[in-house]
Amino acid sequence: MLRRLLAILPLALGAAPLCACATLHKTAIDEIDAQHGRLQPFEIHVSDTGLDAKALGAVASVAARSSRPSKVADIVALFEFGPKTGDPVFSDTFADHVVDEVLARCPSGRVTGLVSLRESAKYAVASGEVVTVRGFCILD
Amino acid sequence: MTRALLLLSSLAALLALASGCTYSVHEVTAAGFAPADAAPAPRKGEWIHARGEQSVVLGITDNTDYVDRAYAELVSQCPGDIVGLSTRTSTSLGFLSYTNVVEMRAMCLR
Amino acid sequence: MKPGLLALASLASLTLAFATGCTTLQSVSVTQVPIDRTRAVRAEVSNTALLGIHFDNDFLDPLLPELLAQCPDGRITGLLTKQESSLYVIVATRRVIATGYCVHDAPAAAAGPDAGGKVVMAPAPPSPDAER
Repeated sequence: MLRRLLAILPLALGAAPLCACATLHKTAIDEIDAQHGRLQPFEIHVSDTGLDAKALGAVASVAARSSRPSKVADIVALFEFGPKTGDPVFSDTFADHVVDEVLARCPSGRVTGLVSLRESAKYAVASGEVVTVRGFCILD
Repeated sequence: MTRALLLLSSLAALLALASGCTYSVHEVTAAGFAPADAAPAPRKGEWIHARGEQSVVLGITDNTDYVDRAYAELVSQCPGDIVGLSTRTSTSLGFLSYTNVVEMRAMCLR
Repeated sequence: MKPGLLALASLASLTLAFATGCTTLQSVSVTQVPIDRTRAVRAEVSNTALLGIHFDNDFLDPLLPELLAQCPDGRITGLLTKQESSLYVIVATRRVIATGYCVHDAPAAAAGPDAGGKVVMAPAPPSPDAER
């Protein structure tokens, strides 16, 4: 039994980078009002790709069989100094159209129960930096 | 061949990260879409926008006043109800320094 | 630059950093802003701990009563809530600041089944990307 487990372990570890590790960074819940009509749920996801300099350095070091790329990654980290939520992305406006999406789903603008989530789906060297907005359209 | 490709792509990604155009998006919220105060007639909705920034060197700062300034700017643009607010906080990352940013967008009901 | 001068400059920078502290914004939220902005309300709570080790979040409890005391018979809206944290050498302070407006709804508006009224939507503004 132990041998089988030990045989599976490298496979499981090898597959781990292919699976995403989900992280929930922030949650905000707005007012919920169920008095003004029927509610129709909706969900919006917007995302961008984040890159992890340290992980990139480690991958490059393995490929080059040298520790130099990791040292380069340490220097690169100095160029991305500051508070971080998830991995750095190349655009800070990727989620700005989320309100337009909300209004596209509910053209009357009658929306309630908004839940805003900031999440990350982490892979080996990259991550999906995700903003999710859930809510209800108030139908007449 | 595969190793060379892996190495090149990793180094290219590192170079892109070092270009200084990277950001961290901390929070995006949408709120305030609930029906506003009663109005006798349909009201006109107009988008308004405010932005606050704070430059920080080596992480040294003692306030978050840029958020208050952005809020005051947003409120000053609209004499009516402000609804459908979306707020984004992010940081523009740089070499041993960074810029905190808050963006507020909303609809002004006149 | 002489080594002594360099050390002095480094010491001065570090002293400045420790005295000023590192303040980080943790979270921001804004709710609907009313037309009537004559009665502003504000409440602030904070909690300081050595090494930033906090054992509970009870410091938040007075926030709501403090706001309600400033608006006992009204509705608090236009709430800007900031959560920030400051680090001073080995002491960390968490702070939550809430500012808003106290409004008194007209009885019909408060009791009406649909106080909303229709809104004529204006076209969305150009993306902030386009402005830069």
